[in-house]
Amino acid sequence: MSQDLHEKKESAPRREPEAFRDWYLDGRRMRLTEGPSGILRLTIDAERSYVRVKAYRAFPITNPEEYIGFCDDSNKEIGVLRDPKQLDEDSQRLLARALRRRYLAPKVLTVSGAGERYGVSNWKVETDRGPREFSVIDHSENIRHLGQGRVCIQDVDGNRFDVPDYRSLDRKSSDFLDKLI
Amino acid sequence: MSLLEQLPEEIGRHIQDQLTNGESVQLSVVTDVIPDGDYGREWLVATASRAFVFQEEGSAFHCRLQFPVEGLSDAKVEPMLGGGVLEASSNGQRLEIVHYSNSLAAKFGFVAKALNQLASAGKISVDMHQEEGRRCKSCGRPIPSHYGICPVCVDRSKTVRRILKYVQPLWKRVVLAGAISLVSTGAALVPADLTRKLFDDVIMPASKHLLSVPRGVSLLLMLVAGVAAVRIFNSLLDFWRGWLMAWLGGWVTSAVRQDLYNCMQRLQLRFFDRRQTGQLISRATRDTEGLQWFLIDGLQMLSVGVLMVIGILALMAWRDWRLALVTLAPVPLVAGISVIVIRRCHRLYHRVWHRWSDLSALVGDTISGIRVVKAFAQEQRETNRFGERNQNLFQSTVAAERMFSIYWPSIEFAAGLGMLLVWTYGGWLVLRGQVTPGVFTEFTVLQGMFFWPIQMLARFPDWYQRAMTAAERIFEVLDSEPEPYVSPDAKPMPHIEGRVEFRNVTFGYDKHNPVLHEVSLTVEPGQMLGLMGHSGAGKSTIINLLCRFYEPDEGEVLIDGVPLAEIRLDDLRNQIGVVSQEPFLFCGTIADNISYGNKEAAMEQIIAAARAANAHEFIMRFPDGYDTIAGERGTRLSAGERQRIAIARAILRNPRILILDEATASVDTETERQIQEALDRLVKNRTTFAIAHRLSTLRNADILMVMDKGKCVEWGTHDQLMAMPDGVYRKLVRLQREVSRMRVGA
Repeated sequence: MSQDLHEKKESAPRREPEAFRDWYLDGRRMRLTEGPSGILRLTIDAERSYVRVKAYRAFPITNPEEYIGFCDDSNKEIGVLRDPKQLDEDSQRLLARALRRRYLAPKVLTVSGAGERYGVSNWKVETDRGPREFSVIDHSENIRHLGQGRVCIQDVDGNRFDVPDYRSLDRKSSDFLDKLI
Repeated sequence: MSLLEQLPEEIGRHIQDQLTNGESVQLSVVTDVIPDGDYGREWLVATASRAFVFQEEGSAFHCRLQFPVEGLSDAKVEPMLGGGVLEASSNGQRLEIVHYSNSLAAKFGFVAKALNQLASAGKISVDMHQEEGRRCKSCGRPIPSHYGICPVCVDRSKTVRRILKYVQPLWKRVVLAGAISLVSTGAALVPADLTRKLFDDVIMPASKHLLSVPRGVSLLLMLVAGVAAVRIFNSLLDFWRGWLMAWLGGWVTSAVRQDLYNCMQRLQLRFFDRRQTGQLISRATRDTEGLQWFLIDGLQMLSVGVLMVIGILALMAWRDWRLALVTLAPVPLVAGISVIVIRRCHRLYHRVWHRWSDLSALVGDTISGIRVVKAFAQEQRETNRFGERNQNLFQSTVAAERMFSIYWPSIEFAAGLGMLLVWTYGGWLVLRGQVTPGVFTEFTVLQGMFFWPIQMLARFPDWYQRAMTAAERIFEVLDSEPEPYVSPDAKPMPHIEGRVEFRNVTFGYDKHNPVLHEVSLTVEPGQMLGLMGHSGAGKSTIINLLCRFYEPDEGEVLIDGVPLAEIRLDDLRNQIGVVSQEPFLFCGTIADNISYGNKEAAMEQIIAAARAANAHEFIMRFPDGYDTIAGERGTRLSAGERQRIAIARAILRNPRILILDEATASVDTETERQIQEALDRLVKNRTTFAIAHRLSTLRNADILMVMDKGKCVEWGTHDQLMAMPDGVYRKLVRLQREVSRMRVGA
């Protein structure tokens, strides 16, 4: 048992900085670069470097642009970046792209050709990522009105769609949503 | 689903040009998202040696990515929000191959498997099992969960025939009910006809002094007596029919309900995994209730309504066909109003229903969490939240009621319109002497009787559809495959020795997502196997397969050398005992709970089992002793007490194979010691599978198995595993020692 303790002491200084590090990352000391086949590499203070980092939103719905978490290749947390605007421009662009890939929740611009029958609504939408057709069931669960006109939709396959403010959509689209909310 | 989808011609040609001798396309699938996250199409094409990704650009294609299949490894999908990415390691480098949306998630799960097979074996042999999902199997339409079955594909006539099968043995009563309806409808028309007689034979002649007073009075009295007799007769018939139909409907639904419940008890667990408990309960209660309403009231209304309409029409046409046609004029209006208004109401009431469930969910939530609410002084917040939802409910209720309040007035208005028409045209005919005043009066009476059945018949299709959907949901359960309790190949095995063997078992709750990968293990009779690993490593799945709650996808599980599929299910389960992490106690006395599954147990046996489980002492401290009511509505028992009752239950059952599923989790040290002691008695001479995090539970284990991500990573005795320098087990032991040292220190 004393041997165990001894081992731990020995390994402690070598392993470290982790326990003393702040959760929050300083964006001014971070740099994101692009590796081969589009992977994301994170360098902090030009000394620590992580290959294949993944970026996550802490609040994908309520605050998608801030509090971005970073993980390394083995899903171990590196830290949270409060405000990506602290990053340099290239890093910001790479981060935005990585987040866009990870969060496939297109913004709905118009709704057309939607109809409801037998509790299934069929949607034809134009989104910021292109046109799409989908079906929604169990409307009270899958169409969530978050207030101020913000609507989150989940289709029958688990795809997500986001309406920033349905009241500001064209008349036909907003009428359709109004009926379902 | 196939992994060889039709390629666009251009890509097909491009590939054909590149293929060498003997090389062929093994995989070609399309995806719906391109790497920058936009919707767009890409094709992944693979042969045994190479793979390509083509991106669509307008009407052209270009090859975005090409990589060798040899040297490819660990292809897998990484789920992300709304979609995912297919990745693989190619010669040591991680490669993102294609992105996809969730619509194609299942397909790409298979594609990942296929790529791995292609890289290792040069060919694809993926078992493309289509999951039963939220889409209809025959038409592909999504199915809302409150329907449970595809409302479009329901074969209603087949459902009706099935319901009729339940009615068949009672056909005499059905015929009787029909006959009563016929007679009572006829009788209902008599007073209207007598009204005509009253006018034409009594009042009119009397007013013209063509009838002597005594003769008139006696005629009048005869008519009054006739109407009274008919009314009494009719009431009696209605009573008889109502009683008969209630009996019939009740009998049929109770038979259906019984079948449903019997069937539910025998269903495979997979069936329950796919459905919410609440939904299944509502099938047993609400759906059968809906069916009952339809069979008792709905069918009665239909038969009476149809007969009534036919009877009235026939009588009218016989008296005067021109006037009959005029009376019919508002019928389309009434039918239209009924259909449209009721459909709108239905939608609004549905919303009310949703808001109701919102509200009751909130109430349920805060009442069960009332301690937290109070501890955080959030009463006001909860009151506000309730107020908001209450207001929503109020508004939707008002909207629905407002719509419904249109219904009767508009029906009455349409009927009133009919009255005006009868008066106008009928009055004109009377003035011209073409009909008698009696006939005119009879028409006004009949016209008033006419619209009630019409509006009801207009609503009937809607009732019919809902009742048939309810029935179909019930029949879906009845048609699901039960567990193979009675299998012709199964052998009786009254005494299990206890040798358990897993041979290359692969299994997943969803078949494209295995949670066990080729697990093999052997446990000798009387041995204790300790299962360790993180949550989600597959420990409980091993137990589920051993109990044969699920069948392995590949490989087999054997007991005493016999595959589980060949052992009679009763024999198997009667000899397996489970003590789980959160033991379930049924509502009943503690003695009932201990003797569950062992009805004949004598009181002495129950006490002996409780003693062996270290439960006797605390049970005796209850004022009601072994007669204390346990379960949800009974005495609150602590986790440790429930645990020991479950152990007593297992001891009494005396199983050959024992399963301890984290039996000492979440109890204090003293209780743990008592439970441990009880367990030590229990495991003696039984093959035991113990899942545990605490090493103390596992100290008696003969063999330990450490699992990670559905695979067995370490296997051996305590000493063997401790001897592994980088072993997971060794690390765990060290960690736990540290933790217990910290506790002692504190």
